[in-house]
Amino acid sequence: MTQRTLTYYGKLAELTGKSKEEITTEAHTVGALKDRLIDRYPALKKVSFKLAQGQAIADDKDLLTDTNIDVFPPFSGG
Amino acid sequence: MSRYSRHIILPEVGPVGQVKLLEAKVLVIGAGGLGLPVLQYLTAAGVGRLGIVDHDNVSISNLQRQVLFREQDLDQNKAEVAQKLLALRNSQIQIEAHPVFFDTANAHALVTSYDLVVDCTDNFRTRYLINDVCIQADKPFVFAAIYKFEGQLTVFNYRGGPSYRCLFPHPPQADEVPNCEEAGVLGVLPGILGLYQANEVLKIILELDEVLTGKMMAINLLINQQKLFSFKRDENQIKRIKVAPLQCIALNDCKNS
Repeated sequence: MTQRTLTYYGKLAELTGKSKEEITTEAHTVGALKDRLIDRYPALKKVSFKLAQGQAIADDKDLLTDTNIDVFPPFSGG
Repeated sequence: MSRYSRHIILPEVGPVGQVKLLEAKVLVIGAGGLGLPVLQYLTAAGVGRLGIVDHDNVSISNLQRQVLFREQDLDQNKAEVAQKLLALRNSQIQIEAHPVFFDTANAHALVTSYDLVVDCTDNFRTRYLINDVCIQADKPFVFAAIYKFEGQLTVFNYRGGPSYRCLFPHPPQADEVPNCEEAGVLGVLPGILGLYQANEVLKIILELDEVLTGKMMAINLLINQQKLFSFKRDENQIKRIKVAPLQCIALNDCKNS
């Protein structure tokens, strides 16, 4: 189990009700952490979002290597 | 050239760079919160040919952030009003209004008439269409998108760099992400993001280093935060878009969403 700090951007901050939180999870990959987040916040199931760690946007298959994770959706406004 | 003297004395621009600007052709899609500051500064910079695409009319709720427009411009086409007001600021450049909806029928002809594209639209359908036609026509495009107090900025399809679909392969469902009308937006946000887009346009034309390709800048005005996130080109996404007719990709995306 590893403690990770998640930062939510845009609409995700509203859907989760917070802009930042610490969670302890057994997830080892980006995809597994995404699944944990969807379990925790079912509203995320219908939303596109990406995770970034160490200032790089990660693929689902990537191993989690950083304790700070940024979670952001696409924006459309102009 | 004396009107551009403050450019010309910069070693990074010089007379050669100013000539590049005067010879450049830039298409700005969307003449709203993002598009207007892009257009105002590219006009002042002497970008030789500017195209403006917008089918919409000026409305009263636009004036809070679309600061080129005046009360007397209400209910008139945005591209045509912008063309008229910008022409008063620089008579030496060519400014073209395209008062049409950017769609699969006109996308290719519009994009191939210019060197590079600036995505200043407010919806995913048009953003994905811009991405796809720019991949097919091999044009770079400068992307910005906003939400309330936050913005995202990057340059896609630049010198073999990644595209929008390398980041988000498919458009979200139509009701998934609200636009400015539904969510609200702080008036200065599109102004700031639009100027960052104009900055990238100038760097691309001037062939300066460090164009924002393969990196997305995330800006949050409430907490004064800027972060850069790197991301990679996905060859499969590029290949998929290169070979398919635009109409078919759009239809498939609608089925997916």
